[in-house]
Amino acid sequence: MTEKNEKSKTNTQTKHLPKDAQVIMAIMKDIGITDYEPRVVNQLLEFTYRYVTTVLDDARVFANHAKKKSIDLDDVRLGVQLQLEKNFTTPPPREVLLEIARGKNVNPLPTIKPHCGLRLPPDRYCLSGCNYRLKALAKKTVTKPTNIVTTPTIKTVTSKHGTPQQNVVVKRQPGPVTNISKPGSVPPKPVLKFTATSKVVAKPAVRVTSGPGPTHVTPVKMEIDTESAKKRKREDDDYDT
Amino acid sequence: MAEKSTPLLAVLQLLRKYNLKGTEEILRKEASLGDAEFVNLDLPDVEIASILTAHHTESDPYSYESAYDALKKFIDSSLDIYKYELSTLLYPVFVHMYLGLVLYDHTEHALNLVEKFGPEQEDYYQDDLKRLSTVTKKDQIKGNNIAEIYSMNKFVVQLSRDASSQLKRFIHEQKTPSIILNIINNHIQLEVHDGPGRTQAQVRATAGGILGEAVKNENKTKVYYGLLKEPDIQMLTAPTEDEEEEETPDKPKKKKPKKDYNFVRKPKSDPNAPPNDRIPLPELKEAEKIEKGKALREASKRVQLGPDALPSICFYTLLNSANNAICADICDDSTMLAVGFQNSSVKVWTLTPNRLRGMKSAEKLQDIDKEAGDVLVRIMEERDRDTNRTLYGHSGPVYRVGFDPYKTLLLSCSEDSTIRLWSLQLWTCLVVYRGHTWAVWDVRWSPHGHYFASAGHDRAARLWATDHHQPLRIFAGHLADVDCILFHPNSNYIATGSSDRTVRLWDCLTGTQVRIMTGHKSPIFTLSFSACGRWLASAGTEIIIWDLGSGLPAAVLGAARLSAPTHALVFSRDNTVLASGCLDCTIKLWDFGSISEEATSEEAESNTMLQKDEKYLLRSFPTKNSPITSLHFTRRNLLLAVGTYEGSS
Repeated sequence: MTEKNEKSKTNTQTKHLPKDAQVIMAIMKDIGITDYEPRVVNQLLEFTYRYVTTVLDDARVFANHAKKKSIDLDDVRLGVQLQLEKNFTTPPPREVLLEIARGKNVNPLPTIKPHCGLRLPPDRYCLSGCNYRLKALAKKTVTKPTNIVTTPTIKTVTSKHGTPQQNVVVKRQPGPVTNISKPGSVPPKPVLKFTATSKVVAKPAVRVTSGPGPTHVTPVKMEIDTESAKKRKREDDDYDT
Repeated sequence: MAEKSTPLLAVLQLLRKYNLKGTEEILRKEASLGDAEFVNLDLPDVEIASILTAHHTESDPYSYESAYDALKKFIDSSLDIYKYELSTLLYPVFVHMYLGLVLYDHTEHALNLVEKFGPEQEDYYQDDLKRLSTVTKKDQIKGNNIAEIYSMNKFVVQLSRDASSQLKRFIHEQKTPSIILNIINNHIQLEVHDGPGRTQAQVRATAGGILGEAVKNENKTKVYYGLLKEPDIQMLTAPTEDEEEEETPDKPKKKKPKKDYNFVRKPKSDPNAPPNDRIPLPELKEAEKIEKGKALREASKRVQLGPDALPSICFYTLLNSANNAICADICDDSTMLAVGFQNSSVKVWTLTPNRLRGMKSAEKLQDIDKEAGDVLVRIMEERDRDTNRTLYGHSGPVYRVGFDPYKTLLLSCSEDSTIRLWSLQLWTCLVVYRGHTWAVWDVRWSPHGHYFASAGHDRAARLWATDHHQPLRIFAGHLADVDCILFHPNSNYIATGSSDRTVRLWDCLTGTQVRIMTGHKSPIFTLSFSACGRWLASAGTEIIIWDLGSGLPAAVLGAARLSAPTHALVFSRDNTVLASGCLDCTIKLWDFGSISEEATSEEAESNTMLQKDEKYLLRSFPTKNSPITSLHFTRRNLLLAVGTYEGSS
């Protein structure tokens, strides 16, 4: 009795399922798949809808191209073929494979040259190139004499409201050639003078001298943004004014 | 194209394919096919084959069933010595009858045929039949793999001379001989061999291939299955070793009590061994020579195994990776374990207290003393050590990982159709090898390093070298995807196992197939060569041991007992024990020493099959819910096994 009840229960449950889902379940039964999770039916349904709509969409495009009023069997055929070649490809047929193999296997095995270290393909086929990384703040280092005449970089700093506005202009004159990484050399340090004004626009007054600066070697930060304004201030304190 | 002239057009295309221009012209004139249809000839090969054969065999569909019935009755009533060989004919006849009916749109007859005679076919063909029976219309033949295989290739059936004459007599006696005769002429290749008819056991041993058995000529090439002459390695005397290790291992050691295959070196060369320069092999570098010396030293301390001395097994269980861990590999000196995962990562663990170190950065490397003796230790960064490392790079599940013989590189292959080479010192990916267009199921190193081979879904296996970005050889010939691949210990041959239930042996030098071995009743999942190189063990749901000299099976293990497929197979280092790991969570040990002895002693007799696997199974070790992923014998014959804990399901 209970079995009959259960059977009728499942029957009514399947009756509530949409017809398409019942079709999918019938297909599965036909192939012989009996054990599957219920979500499989949903996934197969989704796939079916997507596939059919893609094919019909393509068929409509073809029909429009051929100036036909409605979709024809040939259009659908073309649409199916398009899908087949794009998404449902199969491995190459045996004859093609045998042909390729015949062509490839004729070449003798290359001799192995004596070589120290790992034997790898040419560099452009390897992943052994230099990695590039972006740094948050670019550091400018003077590495060679440049013929560039003073390239003033003028940046204005606007600090957050509340603090008195300061316009800081940094003018950098490439002086004698120095490599910052070399210990003992003193790079030209710009000496800054800035005036604090309460007005929005202030005339910048800059005095640049090259000469012995502070002993510590720090490259000058040329990129200034609002967040580092405070940092800038700190560094400026190091300088002679 | 008009329906009537399709067969003629097919014939035209065939003539063109064979460059028979004169005949083509004459046919064109006589059949008055205009030149206008000249350009339309590009029918695919499958259709041509089906058109041409269909033209031949069109006959009354009702007679197919009765013809098959008659054939079955004849076979049942024939003498025992012929019966079993002839019964291998039933399946191909059945398949081609079905395809013929479908081709002629006699769908109901085709379905009736399947219903009536399908379940009677052998059980190893049932899967194929199920796939074939989804083909009900002529157009579907092209899309279905199995149908294509059967319509394009001939099924091979081996018969003794007497059996074949019996068969011919039966066919001529038939009132409607055309159907079966046509099928046999067009689709079946009858190989006649001299000798008595085979017994049921013998027939069953080699049955199962998707296209029947191997043609006799295919297994005639000489295969050099011996081992290469190892170069002189001056073994470094370790401080605590005794005087035995001072000589080079080249000369036969008479005072050594153990007779290992590694150390038996005859002064004259093994006739079955290939010359050392048959294929170019890399020379050993200093570090590699040291490794080899270590290997030989450890080999001398090996435990001799046998039916009385079974190996100890150390099982590594991977926890929390039930659906995640796919493959595992342990390096040759058993110090590192690599596992490939479903989420496309690869993890490497160290199995000893030595941690995995990374290499120093470039600046630090400039400062080290390059002439120091332990420079290889100095290049590693002391602070960068860990017990395990993760390698990211693949974009699909990783199906196989493999350490190279010298522990510097790791290979992995994945569903994303690439093979990646990783450095075990820098812990980054070095090269991505692209060549397969579909998933790569297996990748293995050659025992001498430098070469590796891969097997994929595109039914081809490829041979690569680490310094070439394209494959060196392509081994095409399998009818279904190639599931596993393995190098012979002498690196000259490659064995592949496939879903078409055949195991093939390929020559690396020429890229041609030298052996085809049928007999498996299921797809083949794993392969293993014996340490001497003469035997190949392959496992699907049963384990078959092949003699490479003849290409015939020497033993079939576990046919009755094993229900779950075996995914791990390994020979002990001294060739005495074969260990197999099954998906039913057991490790089984088989007595290979006696198998090889019996097989070599019976060499004089031909075609003797060994079926009793009861006496070869030494022990079976079950685990708790951990199917075996990989097995590995250490150099001292300790068996290491790796499995993932599945939990209760």
